[in-house]
Amino acid sequence: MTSGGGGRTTLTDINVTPLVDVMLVLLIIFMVTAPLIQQGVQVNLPEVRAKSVDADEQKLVLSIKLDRSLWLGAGDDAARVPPERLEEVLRANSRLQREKELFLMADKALPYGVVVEVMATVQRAGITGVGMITNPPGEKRRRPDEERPPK
Amino acid sequence: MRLARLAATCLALSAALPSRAERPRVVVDAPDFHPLPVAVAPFLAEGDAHAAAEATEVVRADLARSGLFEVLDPKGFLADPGEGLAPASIKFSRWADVGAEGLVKARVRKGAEGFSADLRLLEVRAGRELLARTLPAADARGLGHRIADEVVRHYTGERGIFRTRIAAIRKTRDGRELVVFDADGQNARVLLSEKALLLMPSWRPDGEELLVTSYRGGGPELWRYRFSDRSFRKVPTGRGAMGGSWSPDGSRIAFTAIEGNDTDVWTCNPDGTGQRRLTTSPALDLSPSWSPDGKRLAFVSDRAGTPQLYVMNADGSEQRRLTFQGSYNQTPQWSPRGDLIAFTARDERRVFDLFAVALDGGRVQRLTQDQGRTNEEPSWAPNGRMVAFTSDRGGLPQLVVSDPRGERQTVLTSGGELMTPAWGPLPAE
Repeated sequence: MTSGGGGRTTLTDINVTPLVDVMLVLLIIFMVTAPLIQQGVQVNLPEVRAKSVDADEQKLVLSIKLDRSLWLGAGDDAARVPPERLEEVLRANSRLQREKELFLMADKALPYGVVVEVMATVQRAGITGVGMITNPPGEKRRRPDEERPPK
Repeated sequence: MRLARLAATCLALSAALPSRAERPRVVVDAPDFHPLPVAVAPFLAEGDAHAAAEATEVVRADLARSGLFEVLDPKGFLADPGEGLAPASIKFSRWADVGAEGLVKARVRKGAEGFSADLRLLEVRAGRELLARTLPAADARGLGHRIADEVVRHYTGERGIFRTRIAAIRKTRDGRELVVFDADGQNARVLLSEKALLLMPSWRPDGEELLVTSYRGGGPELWRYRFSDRSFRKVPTGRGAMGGSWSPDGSRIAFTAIEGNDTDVWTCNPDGTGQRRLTTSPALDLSPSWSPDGKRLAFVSDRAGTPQLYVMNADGSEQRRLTFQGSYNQTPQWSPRGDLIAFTARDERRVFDLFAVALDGGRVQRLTQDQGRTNEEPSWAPNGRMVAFTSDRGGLPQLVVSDPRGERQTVLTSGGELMTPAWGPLPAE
């Protein structure tokens, strides 16, 4: 666009293209406590205070167990996914491709590198948001076989 | 007035019935229509794993092509491939996790006389069975089409079109062939191979014969091809005739009669007797297409200077112009649903594209754009939910099918050069 008069042109618009590119490359990471998630897959979550999510905001859950096995879905029906198939499975998942977001539940004892590698795969599969699931502090999830702590 | 109120009450009552209200339906005409996400689980095999896999692929392709469903990519499936058909054995959350709302499962059995399938249609969210059927078929492809037809019927309340056929003319090096395909473009069969020109097939409504324009006798004339004995006989009209079209009840034929430089729309009995001239203008009047009730005809006329679509009663009365946009509108085809007339139009870039005009209000919608230079000669599926046409988007003109909005288009064929497709009737039930 040119401004009128004097033949002088002023550059008034910010070129947003590079900005948009950066946005598209970024994986948006947020932390959530999701006390409502049925934990069928055995994962010890880090205890961190974070925003809690409602059941209707819940996304598909990807879990990484301490043995580094990957699981999709919550509860007892979670399905094990071989690591080499993860990207394909996520890419072909209609719900994920519509929501563009998933919840990641990784055991707190896992090495940082293992978790980041999975997150990179998630991003390559076209998912732009990852909710890192934590346990609210002091509200440790109790397993039925666990004994009550002494008062 | 009272009748209207009664009808409204009946509607309200039927909506309140739980069995109706709970049933998930694909309301195709709804303005907010979106394809229903369905997963087609790999069919279980009893005896013939190859046939089960083939039937699975046929069902997936059929449902996707219809434009009614979003068929989920099996690469994303989380369920155990051996999961059974009974609702109690199905882990529905795994299907919900991939975004499925409907789930199609089947067990394919090879018997002494062909195949059969136990079909189950399930609702993922409620975790319950919607439909259980045992379906027979001669081969795996036929079985797949039957299953897809059942799924469509369940969700839309209308018959599916996957077991219908599409006839077309194929250009050969030294002539023309009359070819018939399955509705998915597979299984091409050559009915006639001619040195002379062949054009514009039209199905007898019972599917037993095709009316074709042939130049066997030197000029354009109507000929009838019969499937049962492969006979090919002339319809003696006594004049140059082309573009014959069988009326929906099979009792009359509408055609374009050629006299010198003038063409007019006529009708006659299927044996050529009882001829009746419907248009008399000195302009070109041609390409008649019957309304589904057989009471009216759409046709093309250039009486206003450019080729435009017109409609008239079947006796030639009440001729009125239907299209006012564009300067070159031709090949009208009246939808079996009665609401739309599909046609070919040349736009200002001299590119041919497919359009449809609403009978009610005359609103024109575009089905193709920038998909090759020529998309032309539409023919409706018998349920009016899909339209077949030819397109040169991939090189030589091939068969393409689309939903009536042009949102889901599929090229069905490859090789050869195809023209003037005609979608056949539903098979007898």
